[in-house]
Amino acid sequence: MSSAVETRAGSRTVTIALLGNPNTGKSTLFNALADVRQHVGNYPGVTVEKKIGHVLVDGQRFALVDLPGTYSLAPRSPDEMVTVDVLLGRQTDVAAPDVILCVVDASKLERNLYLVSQAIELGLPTVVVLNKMDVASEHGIELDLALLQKRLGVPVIPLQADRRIGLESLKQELPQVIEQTSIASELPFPDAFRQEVVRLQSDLQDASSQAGSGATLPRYLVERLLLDQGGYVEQADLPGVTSAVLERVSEARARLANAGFPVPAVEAKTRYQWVAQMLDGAVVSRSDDRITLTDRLDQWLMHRVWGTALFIAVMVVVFQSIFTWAIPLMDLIEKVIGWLSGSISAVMAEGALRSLLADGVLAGVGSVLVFLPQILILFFFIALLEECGYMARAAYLMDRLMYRVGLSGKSFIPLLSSFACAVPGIMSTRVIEDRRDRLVTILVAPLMTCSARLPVYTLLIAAFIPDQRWLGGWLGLQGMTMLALYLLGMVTAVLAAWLFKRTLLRGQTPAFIMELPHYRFPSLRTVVRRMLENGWAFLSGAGTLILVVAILVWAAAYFPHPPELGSQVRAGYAEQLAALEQREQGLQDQDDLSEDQRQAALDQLLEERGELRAEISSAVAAAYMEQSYLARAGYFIEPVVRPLGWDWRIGCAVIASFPAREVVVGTLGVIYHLGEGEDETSESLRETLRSATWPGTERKVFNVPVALSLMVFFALCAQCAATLAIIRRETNSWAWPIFTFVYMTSLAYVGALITYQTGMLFVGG
Amino acid sequence: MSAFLPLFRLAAGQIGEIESISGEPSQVHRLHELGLYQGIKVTMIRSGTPCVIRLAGHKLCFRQNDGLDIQVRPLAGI
Ligand SMILES: Nc1nc2c(ncn2[C@@H]2O[C@H](COP(=O)(O)OP(=O)(O)O)[C@@H](O)[C@H]2O)c(=O)[nH]1
Repeated sequence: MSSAVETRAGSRTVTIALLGNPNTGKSTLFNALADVRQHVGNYPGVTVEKKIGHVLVDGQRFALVDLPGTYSLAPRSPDEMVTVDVLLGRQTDVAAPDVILCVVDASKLERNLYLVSQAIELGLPTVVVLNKMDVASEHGIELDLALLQKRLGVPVIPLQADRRIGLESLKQELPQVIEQTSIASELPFPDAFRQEVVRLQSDLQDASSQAGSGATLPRYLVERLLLDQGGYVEQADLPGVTSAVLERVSEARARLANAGFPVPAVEAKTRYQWVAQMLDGAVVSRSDDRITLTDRLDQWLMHRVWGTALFIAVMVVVFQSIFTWAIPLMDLIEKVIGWLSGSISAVMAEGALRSLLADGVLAGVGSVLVFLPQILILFFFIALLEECGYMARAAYLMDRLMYRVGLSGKSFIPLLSSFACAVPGIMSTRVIEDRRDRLVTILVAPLMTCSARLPVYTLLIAAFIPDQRWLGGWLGLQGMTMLALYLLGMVTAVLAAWLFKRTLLRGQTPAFIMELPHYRFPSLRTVVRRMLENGWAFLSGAGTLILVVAILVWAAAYFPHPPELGSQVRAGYAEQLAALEQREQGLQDQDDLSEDQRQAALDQLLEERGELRAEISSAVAAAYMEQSYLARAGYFIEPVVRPLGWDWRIGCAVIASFPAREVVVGTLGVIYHLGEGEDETSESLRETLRSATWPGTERKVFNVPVALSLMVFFALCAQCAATLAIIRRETNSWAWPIFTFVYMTSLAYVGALITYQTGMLFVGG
Repeated sequence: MSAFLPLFRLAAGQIGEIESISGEPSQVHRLHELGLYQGIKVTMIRSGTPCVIRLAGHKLCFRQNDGLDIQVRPLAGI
């Protein structure tokens, strides 16, 4: 080993696994302990994040492995199996832990010790960290730590992680723990159960030696196999677990039930009995049922009427802040990127490299960065609301509504956030424990009308929807169209969620249980840390992919780029340029003009020349675009998009907007000969779109049904590389982003088709 | 009058002792892990779907699904 910090000769890195119920302060402790933090992506094949940190105590190196919060070590899914596998050293991509650090909430000892009872069965040196000691004493809970430690047989360390109180004594304890060999008391499982475990162990041994592998299953997993009816251990393809053995397992369960120890109740009974033994006399709690400040606040905040009204007010403030803070920041980012690409164009010679830097790389970087303000601001609020304890109340209030769709209240905030941007929305689905609910939420979140759709809507509505108003200007057709598009997204999302819950992700909805934590004053440090963590997760998890896609699309729009094309187009304008020159010459030769008149005429000429130059450069840009691979793709798909009322140029702009929807506006600008840099409020872009005709005819490309079909398409499509990249990151699989793209694009196509064809019945074109 | 009633039928403020939880084994198992098991006392704080209950000193928001049946023995109200 090369590390210079290892002072002790021959000492190696000791691996510590952090285990605990959700919301016990495990991440807070992890961040307080670790000097160096590392997110190393996901564990293979699952959505569990691999978080590893390092800390040095007295020259000894410790690696901290953070595990997802869990109530129990009884795995029900591949995700939950990861935790068990890491603890048992069966997960090959992390070192087998030497020590388990079990973080428990001191104010909820009874339930938290259930997990501890499982942890100590694993046979590893264990430390129990009693976190949130402040909350415990606030609740009038008094603990006899020495007694508890003696009973448990493992070190017990009081802590207040968020204020770093007790951190030093925990650190001092660590080096000694490694020496600890004897471990805690046996759990009081009935003898009948133990016998069944021994029996099953030998059955498994036989089966596995028959298969010639000789691999043995750790005792803990044998117990799980017996206890977890319908659990993941049955299906996990473990050594020796054959269908014959599974039959033995159900026979064993039947025998246990006959003996009066039915599975799974025997586990709860035994463990809670053990917990009671541990706590008896070690915990003195005054009254549980005092009315606390939290209870008093909840009378209002969870009230059906007042609570809901307050919730709406909170959401209005959050979204108002996004619009007032994020939009200017996004504009600023776009300006800076625009300025940079302008500077590049000014200093570099024309050519592929300049275009790559200015239109490919910079535009790509811009399309990644432009998401950051919304992500940071949204996560600031989400973290703030969660830290102060309000989020669970919001989920409670919205549960009734979301349940109708087949989801739970926890899906509400992610879906609402998606109205700003689907990327933070999808990232915030991590709070949803149920895997199916989380996936459904991820799949429908991109249907919510995000802010990137607005430029498309603004342009097309202003250009094609008549500005009719009723009720003294209060009700306008343009506004109604916008509203209809928002509703279209929402209604489709609801229907899609309903459908997915009944088909693709069918299964019994588990009972929904959510803790309602005590209200507390949020720590700004934690809020800011969580905000930055999410920003970084986006940049590292999706940034590169978005950049690559942006560069690919740039290449498609740029190449093959034959150099002679530009001169050919310019040659077509030679006569006009020459005419201007001639007029200038003529002006010089004319001597019957006053100085002022001459100046005015010269200015006029200069202006005309400027206009002509701009026209030439957009004609060149358009000519290059027309022979690019992108345009060929546009021609190629024209038969497919014709039924939607689109010509090849619209098809082409839609393809180019794959990295990000809003790009379609700029591409339409280029392709309809307006040059770059047109935005959705440009009057000339609207004019051009209105007057564009089908090649060789007088027939207009755009009419109201075409504009509507294009807008419906953008309402429903998945034209956003960032969203697809973040879905890939969050689900750790390519299958879900591909599925999302396919289902949304199909919906978009069908929606646009119906819109156009129905529209044409009215327009009669 | 039957001595037991389903958990969700408790009125706000009423206390009940869990008598039995039945349903799909892995679901029942999960409730056990969360601290809902035979013999434990729960206080209904807000009835309805979902309801809010107090259990061993902490508050939980709880929505039962169709497959589960939780019977409680009502004790005195507050
Ligand atoms: N009162 C109190 N709150 C804490 C303490 N440690 C952490 N918290 C808070 O508990 C909540 C959950 O913490 P977190 O680290 O996210 O928990 P995790 O889900 O176990 O990773 C956060 O709001 C923390 O700020 C503590 O010692 N006392």
